[in-house]
Amino acid sequence: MRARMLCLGVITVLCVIGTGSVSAHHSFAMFDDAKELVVTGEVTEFQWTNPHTWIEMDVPDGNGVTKHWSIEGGSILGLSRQGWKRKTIERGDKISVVIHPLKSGEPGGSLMGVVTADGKVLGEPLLPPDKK
Amino acid sequence: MPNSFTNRIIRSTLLACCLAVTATAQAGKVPDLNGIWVIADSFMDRQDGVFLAAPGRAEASERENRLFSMGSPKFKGEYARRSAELQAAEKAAEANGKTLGEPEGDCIPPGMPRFWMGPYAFEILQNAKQINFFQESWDQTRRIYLDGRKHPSPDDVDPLYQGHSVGHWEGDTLVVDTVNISTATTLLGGVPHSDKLSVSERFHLVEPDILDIRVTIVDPDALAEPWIIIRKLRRKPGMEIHDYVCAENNRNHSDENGATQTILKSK
Repeated sequence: MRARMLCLGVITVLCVIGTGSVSAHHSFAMFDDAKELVVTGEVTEFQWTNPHTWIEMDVPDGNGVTKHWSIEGGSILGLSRQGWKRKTIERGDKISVVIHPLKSGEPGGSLMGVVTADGKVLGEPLLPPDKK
Repeated sequence: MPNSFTNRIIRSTLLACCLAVTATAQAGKVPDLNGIWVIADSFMDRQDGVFLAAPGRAEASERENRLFSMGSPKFKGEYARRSAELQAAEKAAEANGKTLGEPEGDCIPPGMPRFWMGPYAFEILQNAKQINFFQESWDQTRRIYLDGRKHPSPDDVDPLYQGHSVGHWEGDTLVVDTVNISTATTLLGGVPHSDKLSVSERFHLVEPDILDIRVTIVDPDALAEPWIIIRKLRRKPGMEIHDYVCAENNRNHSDENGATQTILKSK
């Protein structure tokens, strides 16, 4: 299962109806909450910081080109109450993240869920196969 | 006669003792609000892994939005026109994949009355003379004086982001009145307010660890009717406050056009 997900690369999986999100620091209207994207690659840095956490990762596109993605997550204040720790994700980990991508098309998104290097699912799980 | 005199003394003493005991009992009856609190049933109150940043699917989004609802202020006059302008500007920005956001994106705290948007842990510290409300986001602290003082004249003090708050107990309900709120704070959607803004709050412990809060916001210049915010907090024994240094790693400050940025490393 994990191996298969790691082969996904970047795939648009489904459109869902979103209604915005609760955020303290800023509006998330720059992200397309009608789209979910699975991004798989290698973590170059995990910024366990306020006002937001960030996952920096190199993502191969399957054609020999690697693109760098920046994924914006919740603040430490939210994530730490949901079981996250500063070493939940580490440099060198191979992970898949589910994101709402930037509307601009640039390689960034807001984090909804992650499958960590050891196969643990945090946050929103990847969509079930029948929805793909 | 001595007996009668003695009896009177005994009766007076007993009465004084009874009054003292009653007064002590009443003082003891003031609810204890000390502790860490979160918005009940929200992402801060669960462990099901729904993110703050992206509650995700529609159902979770709707649930969170309902829990964190700030109500619907009805603006009037120039404030209604400003609200319409801001909404149109936000719509135009969103059509270009951007968002204008609010001052918080630049690490400026919301202050009153949007202190109540939370969304993280609140801490209440209470004694007989003062009660402090702390909100983790932007490390905001409000100080409510219970010692009977009045609001100072606005000519003598500066307006503050959290305003000046005095409170008293009406039975088991804490009643707080806040004025002199800086006009640097905004109401909902970036709409400003006048220096006549006042906020009254009622805090009532409905269960040992459930606090109902009713916030009534009045501004004779900006609001056509009182704006009401309802909150239900749950006490969380064992939870501790974390710091929130907004400038630690802010990758969302606004650009020269006021649009919220998303700073990517690929650039």
